Amino acid sequence: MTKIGIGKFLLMFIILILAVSTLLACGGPEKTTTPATTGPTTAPTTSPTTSPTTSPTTTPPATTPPDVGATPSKPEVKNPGTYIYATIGPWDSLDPAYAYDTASGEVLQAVYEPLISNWETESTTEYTPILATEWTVSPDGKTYRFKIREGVTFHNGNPLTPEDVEYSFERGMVQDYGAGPQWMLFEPLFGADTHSSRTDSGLIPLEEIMSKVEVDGQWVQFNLAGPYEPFLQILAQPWGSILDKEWCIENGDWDGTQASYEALNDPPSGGSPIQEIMNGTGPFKLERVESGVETVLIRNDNYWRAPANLERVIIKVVDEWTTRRLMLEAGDADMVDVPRAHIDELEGVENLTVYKDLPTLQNTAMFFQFAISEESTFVGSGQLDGNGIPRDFFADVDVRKGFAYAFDYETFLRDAFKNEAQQIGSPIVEGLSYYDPNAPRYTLDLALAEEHLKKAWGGQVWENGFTLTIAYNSGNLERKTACEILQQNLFSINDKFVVRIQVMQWPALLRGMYASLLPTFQIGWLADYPDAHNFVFPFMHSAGTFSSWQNYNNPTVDALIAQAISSASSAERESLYRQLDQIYYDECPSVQEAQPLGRRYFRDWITGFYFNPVIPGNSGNLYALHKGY
Amino acid sequence: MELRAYILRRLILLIPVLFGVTILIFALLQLFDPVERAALYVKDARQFGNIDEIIERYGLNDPVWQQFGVWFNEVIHGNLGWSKVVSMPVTRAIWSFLPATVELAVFAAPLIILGGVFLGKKAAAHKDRTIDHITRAGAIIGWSLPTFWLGLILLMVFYGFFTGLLPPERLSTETSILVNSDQFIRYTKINTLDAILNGNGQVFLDALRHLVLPVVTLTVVNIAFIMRLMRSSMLEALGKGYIFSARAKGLSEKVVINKHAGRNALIPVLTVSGYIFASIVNGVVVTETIFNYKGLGWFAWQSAINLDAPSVLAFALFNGILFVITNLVVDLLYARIDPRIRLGASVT
Repeated sequence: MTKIGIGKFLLMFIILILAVSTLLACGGPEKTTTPATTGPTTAPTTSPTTSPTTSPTTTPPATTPPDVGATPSKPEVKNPGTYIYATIGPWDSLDPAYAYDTASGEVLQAVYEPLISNWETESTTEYTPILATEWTVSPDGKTYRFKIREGVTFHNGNPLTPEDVEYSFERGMVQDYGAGPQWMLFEPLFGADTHSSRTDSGLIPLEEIMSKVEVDGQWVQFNLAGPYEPFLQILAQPWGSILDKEWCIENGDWDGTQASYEALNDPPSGGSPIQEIMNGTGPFKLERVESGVETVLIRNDNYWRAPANLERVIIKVVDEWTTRRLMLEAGDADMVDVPRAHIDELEGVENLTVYKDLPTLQNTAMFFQFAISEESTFVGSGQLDGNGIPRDFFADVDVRKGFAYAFDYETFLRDAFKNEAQQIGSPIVEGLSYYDPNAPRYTLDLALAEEHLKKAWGGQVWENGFTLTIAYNSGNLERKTACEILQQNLFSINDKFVVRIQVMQWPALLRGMYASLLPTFQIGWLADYPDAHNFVFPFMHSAGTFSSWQNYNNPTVDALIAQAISSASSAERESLYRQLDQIYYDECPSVQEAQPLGRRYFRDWITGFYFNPVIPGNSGNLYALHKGY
Repeated sequence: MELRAYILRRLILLIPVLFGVTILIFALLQLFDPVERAALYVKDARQFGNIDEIIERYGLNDPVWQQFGVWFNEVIHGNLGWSKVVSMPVTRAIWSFLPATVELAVFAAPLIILGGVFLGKKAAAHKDRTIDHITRAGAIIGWSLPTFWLGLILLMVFYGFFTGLLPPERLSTETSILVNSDQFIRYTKINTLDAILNGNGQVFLDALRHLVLPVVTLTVVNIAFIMRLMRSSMLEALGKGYIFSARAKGLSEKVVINKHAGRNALIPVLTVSGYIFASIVNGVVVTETIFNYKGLGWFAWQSAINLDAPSVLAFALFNGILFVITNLVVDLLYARIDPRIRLGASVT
């Protein structure tokens, strides 16, 4: 049987493959021009918002005019009506109350809807009614009332009721878990010290949760513990999405009872009954999910506004950058994630629309560890003898300032971010309420660095020198660049200043930060909502994520932060955040390295994009997008 | 009867093998600190504040034996856990990524194995002549090419330069929408097979077109191994006395090469072939990643780099089963090819 079989089989196989590829080579392009699906698009629907070029109120630099590749003849639109986005990571959960990552938020925002939005234009301070038609805030800032829109149906046909709204928020808090977004509702509703349903004295009683959100006719009322200015911003995000109560219960979700509360609270991964099914009121319905591969949304033709322009949205995970680039160039993807390191490869590529210098609501900073752990192996001898550093090395403000003045911010922005980032003074980045463009900041000044380092530790630092190790996670070129800049500049001030650089895997670096092992670390924050509070807390409050890691604790700062968030007066808040900016500069617990500016690359047959930094992901508002020239 | 007992015995041996593998992986995972393993659950800076709670929630700080006990108890009850990297139960994840990889293996393995055998035989039969030199040089070049490089080059040429000719992924958008509609039944999720079962030529051709580059990449890189092995094994066989007598008794060269030498030379090749087939079914990380051909390799790789313990463990179990069964099949084939091998007797 094997006598002649192998050769012939092989030959046939090769011929088959060659035949198929040549066949398709001839027939390939033709195919895509004759889509079996519906025609070009259904009648051009009314644009969901006014033209997105309306100038923003407080959100500065708007979307810059796109660079459109100049080409005489445009290629035919591939897959008309279907928007294909090639991204880099799969989503975590499709339950809006559980998901806390950008990839999930992107899908959620197209399928579910909140009561109000601050993302239907470029401005994050302009609210538009979505599932609420109107709302009121009591003068004391503690009672928020929303009138629920009538005549809206969920994708399964169930009508939207005020009870659904009440249920959605209560359910969110009931099933809250360790790493979820629900702390954002606990804080305003229960007070600044409550971030979870699990307190030291056990679960928060169900009646208490239920007393916070109440139905009153067609209205739903939220009873806050005190004034909390960013509350509307929080409601406008995916975790403020409205679910269908009946559908949730049918699918095994919280049924309103105490027993069900206990059973569903703090679910493990995948424990949410609606983690991969969706039933919203939004412009798109979930058609299909192949987790890790692709998520397909289809237009909701019964949408309460005009149906979306796009008929289908496909979000697929494509890990390899070159593959994504080729897909974009071939028109098989309409939008792809472009790593900053590779932006040069897309220079001069035709048929793309590029949006540049988009101020993202994130920052990256270098933190100083005030009390390095005994376990740390990054401190050399552990003494100020030139071969190491003491564990409280950075507790001396002159050391921190010396490091801050030794950092070359301009070079960093140029080398690490290709100048697509800006320096900021305080953790409050541009685009947030209470941002101050004139916040005091450090600049490269080796003379001042020298002055501070000479003063530090009573002159011992200068005399004996030091040796310490700083780290970055492998693959993170931005952090690597920062490490190298610091290393070189400190050495140039005094050749007894030895900084060693170590590359670590991400989980190990996370541990290094968390367990106070690293003398300094770099990490960034991404906004939950565009308010200053969301940034000063993690960076400055003793219970904040980063400041607690670095063991920074200033009771004055804690008091100012608490006062600012519970103030009903904008003017008072403004002045408090200015004080915090100044303290941040004076104490220098960490140094802001950069606020990255984003870019978006679309095929030029996609129109309707506008940049609003609170929209999760890269595609912007999918409802506003249009495919076709 | 003897054979059946042999197979049964081999299958029973699976249990200690799997147990050993899982213990080993569990032990290795313990080399990572609880915080490092918690990194899987905090993907976003905004979740960093809750690492303590995560460690507590998932028992990452518990003694190893306790963690193993919890996991083992779940496995016995048929629950392999939750894959955090792809947000679905691990068992389902394996089943959902398996068809793509099987499809790749079914196309690539015959090309690699039969092609390698064929070329190796040709090279040996024409030792030190042109055909031998060409195949040997080709094999060395193919063997030396890094998979990611070859894959990317092929993609750049056949997808980038010849725009859209041989695309990545498993299906084109248009076909994918069709395949997932009511007009098409996905029996196996092996696209070419489903297309045949549905009698849909367009889907079949589209799936085949998407298979070309990954299959070619795998073949070019792997064929050298089999070819070289077959060649040396064949040369050895050709020097044996029975070949001399076969030729002496006037058999045609074709019969001598194919039947007498070829069959004897196949034994080592068969061993390696089983391994190659199992490795491809097991997933080919680089090829799957470059061609965005989401299969088991991609899944295993993602699980490993994210320290996703349940996925890694489940994958190890799957792997153990796969390799034991492949080895078993290879052993059975030995007996078929070489009558001197008696399975039941050889293991006692």
